[in-house]
Amino acid sequence: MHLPDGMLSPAVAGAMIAAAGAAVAIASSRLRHILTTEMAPFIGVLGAFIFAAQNVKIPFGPWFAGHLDGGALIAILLGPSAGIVTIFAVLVVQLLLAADGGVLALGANTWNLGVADAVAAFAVYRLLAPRAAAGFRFYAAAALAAFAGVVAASFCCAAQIALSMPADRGVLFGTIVGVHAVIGAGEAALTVLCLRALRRLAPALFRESAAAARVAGAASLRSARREWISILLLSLLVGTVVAYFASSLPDGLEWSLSRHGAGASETPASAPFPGYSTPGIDSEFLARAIPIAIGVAAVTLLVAACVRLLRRRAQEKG
Amino acid sequence: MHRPLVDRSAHVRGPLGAWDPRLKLLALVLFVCAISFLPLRSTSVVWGQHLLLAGLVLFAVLWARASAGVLALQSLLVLPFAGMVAATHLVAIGDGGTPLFAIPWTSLHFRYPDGGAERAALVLLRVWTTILATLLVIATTPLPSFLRALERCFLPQTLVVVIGLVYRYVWVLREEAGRMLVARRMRTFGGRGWVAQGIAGAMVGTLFVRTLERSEGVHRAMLQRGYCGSLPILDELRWTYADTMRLCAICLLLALALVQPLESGAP
Repeated sequence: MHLPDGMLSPAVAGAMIAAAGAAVAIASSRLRHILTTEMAPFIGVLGAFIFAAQNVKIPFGPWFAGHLDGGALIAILLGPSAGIVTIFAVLVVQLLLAADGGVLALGANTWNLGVADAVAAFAVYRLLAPRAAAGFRFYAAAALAAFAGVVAASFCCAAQIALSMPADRGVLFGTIVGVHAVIGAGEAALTVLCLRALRRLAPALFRESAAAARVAGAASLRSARREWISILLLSLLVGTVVAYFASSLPDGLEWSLSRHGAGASETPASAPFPGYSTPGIDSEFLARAIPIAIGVAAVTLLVAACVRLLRRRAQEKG
Repeated sequence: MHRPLVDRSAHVRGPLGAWDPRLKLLALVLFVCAISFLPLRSTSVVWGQHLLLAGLVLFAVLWARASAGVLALQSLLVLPFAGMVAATHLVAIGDGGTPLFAIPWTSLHFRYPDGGAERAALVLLRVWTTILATLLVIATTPLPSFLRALERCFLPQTLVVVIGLVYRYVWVLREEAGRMLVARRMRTFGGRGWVAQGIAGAMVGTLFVRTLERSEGVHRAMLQRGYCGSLPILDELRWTYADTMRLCAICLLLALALVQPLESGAP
């Protein structure tokens, strides 16, 4: 799901760079104690682990072979901040080693594979997992978390492409999210297998106090509850603001092209909603309002989930 | 284990090897920006611009004496995802246009949108051009100097250290994973079937535990060698007068490629 360059419009790519930059900044400041002296090798070697784990191919039937993405695994074990910073480092190295993922698309890729994946996985895990990290419920929560992480990442990816390109939205979302739902099922199975192995090999990892000691308190399982909410909301805010300004600026090339009559009637590719219309609805107002309403509803649901989570944690404490 | 592209050809003694890594990064970003700002519609002007930029990259590959075959192969490896996205331009939901097929018992009708093939080809061309440009820059720059450039440009030092450590240990851990894969192949008669799949999770888990152990060892070793938050670097980057001239030349070339339709007029 590594987006290459040339697919995203400048406005979308810029907004995602801002959003992902904010997310990485917040996450690494949450991990400040770790990153300065104590545990830089920890995150570094963890990133290398993800690289190596992606080399272990698992055959699903005769044609497909999957591999672990690892975002959900790290988010479950160490919290979303560690996940975001690790994935960011991995993406930079993948870009600089094999041109896997684009330069301008680095922001979008960090957002999809790091922020969306880790935060969605961690949110689902926190909502569903029992306090004791064992038993069927724990593994079911981890599997659902891994699945939700991959699907959330692919959804963000499809949305970014849909905002950049004049392709059919239904086909685009159907293809990308559909393919990644299958991949997400594989990721879920692998995450559970891996957690089961870890449970046997390193039970100390699952005792919360031990995990907290391991990551020096900053990204521990206990103190992580506010951090992913703040990461998500703040970076969404930054991304939206940048997208607004980026799209309101006149695109010089578009302007010159339309002035010279070349394709003046077509929608500019770099607008945030190029020709955004809901199929089958004639009213222009409705066609534009429906996507916005869907977005607002999604954000509301997200906030409601956050509030519920906070209340639940408070009840557990109180 | 296959060797990385960088280790194989980062020591190209071509003209690009002498450039400052910051200049190469900047040029790459400028190039990618230029191609992103081109509109995605298949008029002859736009095709001309895209082909011009692609020709620019191909010329740079030949001029830099990079191994074109390796770059071409590597660039094809990255294309499947781009192909999937490009293919979505070929199909649209709804009636009208050229009907393709319908899913029975639903009201879903698919059609071929007008100009879909041209747009798909344009997307593939764009993506392939940027990937080739990225690969060219990568192939002529060792990763440590990239990290120096990133540090000097904008990235906080802690993140640079983390990225450097990831790079440093990728090969160590990949070889560890490779040894485990060999062991699995030998014990499961070729590494296929349910037994192998069951083992995969345990393998990744084992790798994780070994990673944690290794990171503790690495940290102790770093502390003993006087690590206090940053890795010491011996060679300094030097931005020369020639680099400034090269940057100007690149900007000029890109501007020419973008401004072309203004001079040639509307088609």
